[in-house]
Amino acid sequence: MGNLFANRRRRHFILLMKYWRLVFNDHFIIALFFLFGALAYTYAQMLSYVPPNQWWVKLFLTLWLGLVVHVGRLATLVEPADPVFLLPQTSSMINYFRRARYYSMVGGEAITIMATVVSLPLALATVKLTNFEVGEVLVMMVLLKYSHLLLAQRHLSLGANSTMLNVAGLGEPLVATALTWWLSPTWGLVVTVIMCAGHLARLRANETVDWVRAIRFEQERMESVYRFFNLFTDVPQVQGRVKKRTWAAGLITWLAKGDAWAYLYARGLVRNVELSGLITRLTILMMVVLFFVPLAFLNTALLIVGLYLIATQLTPLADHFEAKVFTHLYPLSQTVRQRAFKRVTTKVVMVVAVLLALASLGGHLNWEQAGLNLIIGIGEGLILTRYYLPTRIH
Amino acid sequence: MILEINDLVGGYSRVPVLKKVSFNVEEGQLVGLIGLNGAGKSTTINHVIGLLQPFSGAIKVGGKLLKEDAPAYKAQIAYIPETPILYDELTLKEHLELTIQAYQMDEQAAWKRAERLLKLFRLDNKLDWFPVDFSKGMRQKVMIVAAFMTEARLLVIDEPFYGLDPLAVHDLLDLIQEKKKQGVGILMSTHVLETAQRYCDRFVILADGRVKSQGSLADLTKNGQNLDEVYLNLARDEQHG
Repeated sequence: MGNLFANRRRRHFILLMKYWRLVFNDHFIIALFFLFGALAYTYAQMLSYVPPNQWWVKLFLTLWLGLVVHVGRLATLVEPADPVFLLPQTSSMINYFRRARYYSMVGGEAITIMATVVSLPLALATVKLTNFEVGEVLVMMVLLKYSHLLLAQRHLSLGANSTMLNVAGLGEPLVATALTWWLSPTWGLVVTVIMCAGHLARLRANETVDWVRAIRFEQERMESVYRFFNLFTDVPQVQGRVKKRTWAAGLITWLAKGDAWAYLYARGLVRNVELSGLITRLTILMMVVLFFVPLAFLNTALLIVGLYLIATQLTPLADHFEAKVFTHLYPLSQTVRQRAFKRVTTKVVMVVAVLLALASLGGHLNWEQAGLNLIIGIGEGLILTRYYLPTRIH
Repeated sequence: MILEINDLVGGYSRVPVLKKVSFNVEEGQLVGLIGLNGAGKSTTINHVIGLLQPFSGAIKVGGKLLKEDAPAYKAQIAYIPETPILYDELTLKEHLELTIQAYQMDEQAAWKRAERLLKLFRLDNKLDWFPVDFSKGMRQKVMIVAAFMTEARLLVIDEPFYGLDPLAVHDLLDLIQEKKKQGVGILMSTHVLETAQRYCDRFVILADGRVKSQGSLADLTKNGQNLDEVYLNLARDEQHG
C-alpha cells in the first residue's frame, strides 16, 4: 500500500508541475514582482512605526501564527473508486495514510516556517526575544503543523467526533500562540508538545478509515487546488457551477442590452461561479492593495497591472459557449458576436476601473491620486477592450 | 423543395465519411434517415445544419447555400440534437427568450406558441428552473419546445424518442404532423423503425456513407416485408459484403 501512495504521489506531482508551469508565466511574474515589492515596502515602512509591547500587535501575531497552520491540508490522494477496489486492503491502509501524512508535512511545514520567519521582524519589534526563544517559536510552529496533520487524519477515522476535532483544530494553535506572546515562548512550546503527543496517541488507538469522509475531504481539497490554478489558466476539472443571483438581475439586464449574444454573455458571466468569482476576488484583492499602498507612482503602476490582469480573465468568456451547438446555428453573423463581446467586456472593465480608482483614495482621501488613476484606468480599459481583448478571440 | 442535397462528400477531417450522398426533403414531408451506427446519419445532419463544410457537392435549404448567405440559410432551420444541449447559466424561460432573440421572432406570437407547447409537455410551471434541475426527458422536452416554437421551414431532428415517456412520444408525433400540415419539411434520424414506418413519408437508408436506397415504404419493401426486415437485410448484406 505504501507503493500505491508513491505511485499516486508521482502522478499528482506531475499534474501539479504542469499547472505551476502555467502559473508562472511572464505576465504573472511581472505582477508578482510588483505585488511583493509593494507588500515588502509597506511592511518595512510599517515596522519603524510599531511601538514596543502593543497588545494589538500581540493579538495579530497570535492570530497570524495560530491560523497559518491551517494552510497546507492533508493530501491523502484517495479516489472515489478506492473503497470498491481496495476493500480487501482496508486494514493495511494505515501504511498508506501514514505515507500521505509524511508527504503532506513537506509542503505544510515549509509554508509554516516561511510564514513564521516573515512575522519574526514584527515580533522582535514588539517583544524582546533571545535567540533561544526564537528557536522555541520555530519548533513550536513545526509541531503545531504536525499536530494539525495528525488531527486531520483523526478526522478520517471511523466514528470520529468532528465537532470536537474542529474545536481542537481551531482552538489549540491559538492557545499555544497566545501563551507564546503573552506568557513566554517556553510555555507555548510545552503546551504544544503535550497536545501533539495526545493526538499521536489517540490516532494510534484508532486508525481505521472512514472512506466516505476521506473521499469527500480529498475531493474538496483538490477542488480548492484546481480553483487556485484556475485563477491563472483553464482547468477542466473546475466545472462552472451556476448560481441564479437574483440580486444581480439589474446587472444582468444592463449587461445584456442588445442582441442574443449579449443576452448569453451577460448571463454566462454573472451566473457562472468561476467566471464572476474570479473577477470579483481579483477586484477586491486589488482594491485592498491599492487602498494600502501610499506611494503615488507604485499605486498607479499597480492599478495598471491589476486592471490588465483582471481584464485578461475575461477572455475565456468569448468561447464560453463554444461547445453548445446552438450558438453555431443561430442565424447571426460573427460580427454580431464580436460586437456583443466587446460591449459586455467594456462595461465590466469600466466598472472595475472605477472601483479600483475609488479604492486608491486610500485612508487619507487622496483625491488627486484617485482622479489620476480614474483617467488612466478608463483609458487603459478602453484600449484593452477595444484592441487587446478582441485579438485574443479566435 | 426545402432541402436539396446533391453529391455531398463530407466528413470531419480530410477523410470523407459521406460519399456522394443525394436526397431531398419536400415541403410538408417527413423523411426518415435510417442507418446503422457509424453509417453517416449524424455527419449528414451536421452538414445540413451547417456545422461542417462540404468537401464537394451542395446543400441548399430553401434554395440557399450556406456560404452565400449564412444567416438566411440558418434562419430556416430548427434543430433538435440527439442529446439535449442546454446553457447551464440560463433558466428554461431564458432559453426560450434567447431563441426568440436569436431567430428575431415576433415576441408575442412566439410566446403564445411556446406557452401551448410548455403546457403540453407539463413544463409551464418550471420556467425558472435551471438545466441542472431537469431530468434527461425534461431536457429533451425543452429542446423540442425551443425548436417547435420557431417558424423554421426545415426541422432537423436527431433521434428524438430516447428518454421521452410514452405520452411525450405521442405528443411529439402529433406536433410533427401539425408542422407537416403547415408545410414544414422534416428530416428525422431514428433507430425506432416501427414508429418511423408508421409516420415517415419517405426513407433514406444510409450505409457506409452512401445512400443505399430511398423512397416510400412501398418502394422499399417487396412482398409484404416491413421496414425492420428491409433494414436487417441491408445490414446483413453489408456485413457479408
